[in-house]
Amino acid sequence: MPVPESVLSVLPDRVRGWLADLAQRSPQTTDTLEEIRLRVGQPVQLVGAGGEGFLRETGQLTSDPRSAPPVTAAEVGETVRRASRHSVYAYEEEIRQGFLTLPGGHRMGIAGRCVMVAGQLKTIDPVSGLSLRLHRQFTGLAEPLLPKILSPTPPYVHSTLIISPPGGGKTSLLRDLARLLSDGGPLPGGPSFPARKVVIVDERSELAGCWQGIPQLSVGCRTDVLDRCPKAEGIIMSLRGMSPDVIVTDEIGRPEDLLALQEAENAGVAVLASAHGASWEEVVERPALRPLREAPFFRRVVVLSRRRGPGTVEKVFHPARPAGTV
Amino acid sequence: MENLAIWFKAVGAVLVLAAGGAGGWIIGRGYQERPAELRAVRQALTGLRNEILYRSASLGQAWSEVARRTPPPVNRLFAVAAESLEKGEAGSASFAWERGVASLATVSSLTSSDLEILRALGQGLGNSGRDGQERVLTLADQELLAAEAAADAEREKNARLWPYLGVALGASLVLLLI
Repeated sequence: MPVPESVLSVLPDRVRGWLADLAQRSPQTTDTLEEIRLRVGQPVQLVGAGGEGFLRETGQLTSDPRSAPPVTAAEVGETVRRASRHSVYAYEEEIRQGFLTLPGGHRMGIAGRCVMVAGQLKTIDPVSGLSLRLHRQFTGLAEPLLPKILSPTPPYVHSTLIISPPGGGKTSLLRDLARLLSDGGPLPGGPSFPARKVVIVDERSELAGCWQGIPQLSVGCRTDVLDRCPKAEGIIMSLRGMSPDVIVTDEIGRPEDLLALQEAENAGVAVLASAHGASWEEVVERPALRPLREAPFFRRVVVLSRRRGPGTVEKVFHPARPAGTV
Repeated sequence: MENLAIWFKAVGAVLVLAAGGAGGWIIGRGYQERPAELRAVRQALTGLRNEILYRSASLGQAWSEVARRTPPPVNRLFAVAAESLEKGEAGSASFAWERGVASLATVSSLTSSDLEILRALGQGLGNSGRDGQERVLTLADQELLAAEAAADAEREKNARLWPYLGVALGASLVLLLI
């Protein structure tokens, strides 16, 4: 996939030209690009499937940062203004959270001087570094896993916790599960299952990649999204108002998250969630998640790795029987 | 032949008088329109403040909405700026705003000092948080209020004077030519 126009349109004019040259010289590099990083006084860094490098004026990549032109403070500022549609005031909350979402669900992380007022982060100004992460949807990633989390009784899906270290593919897997459950079955050569009403509580706009509240990634035709909503609040809100069969949310880790999960269980709603960690044991060692050990809310635990790329399923088991597999 | 010359002179005198009167009337009308246009600009900026602070509309959307609700000729400022920004003709919001100001200058009675207030406002629009936007809009409003008071005083002084002055100048010219 070439670099999307929604990303190119926010970049400084010079950088856009260099990327166009790079796309001509080496289309494979731009097609597999994952990140474009701009830092004041430093050259443009590109990160992709094939490695990383600094962008030269000639549209070539180099490992020597001194042979690539640096980005200016004005260019970084202009990039933020373009990404915020020349309306920084309308994106204050997003900037406070450290990122802006672009059309298409791509994300621009922001670094710089954090301005604190009364102990609270008010804004980031001036901005010194930007990380443009290109979103790529892995459609079909969850198809092999889905039969293992389906249940024969309502809500026809087991509450499932997906575990992996950062970058393991948890979010991509959750997104694809939401899409599959929302669209309904059967899968090609797989089991038949009823379509479910899904609510995604997307605190960091990563699952659905919403822009202006509209999902930019495929999350299914029966899916509603609570974008940038705190997880616990979002779960309770959706139980009250949206009558979901399944709630999908990313990276649980606070005590209030578990209380909200309990509410969902009481309401007969399945929850698909994720947590950082290399194993179930490691996850339930975290103080906020320790209650899961005694009262396992989840019926399935999925452990991922990057062994064969992000989203490699290593193990699926019932948390009461961590030694066994499903 | 002599009668014809007299007729020509009479028609010429009437035309010079009319031209003087019309010139004076046009200048006088400018003095009358400027305060009204300044008031319209201030009202439009109140609308812009609401769009920015309470609706969190993007600058392009906010300008379009204000253009829709503002009477001519002041609506042109917002309409041209919004169109320029949405089309991506301008690299930045301040360039788009500058185009709007330039377009307004061609159809309004605002003076260069009034337009300078608007240009200064354009430098601050869109590139700060809500607090910053409130500050730049408040500053512009205060400056426009002062300009409006000065424009009102000038209107009192000059709006009626100029049509008479135009006719008097025309009459003087007629006398000189005769």
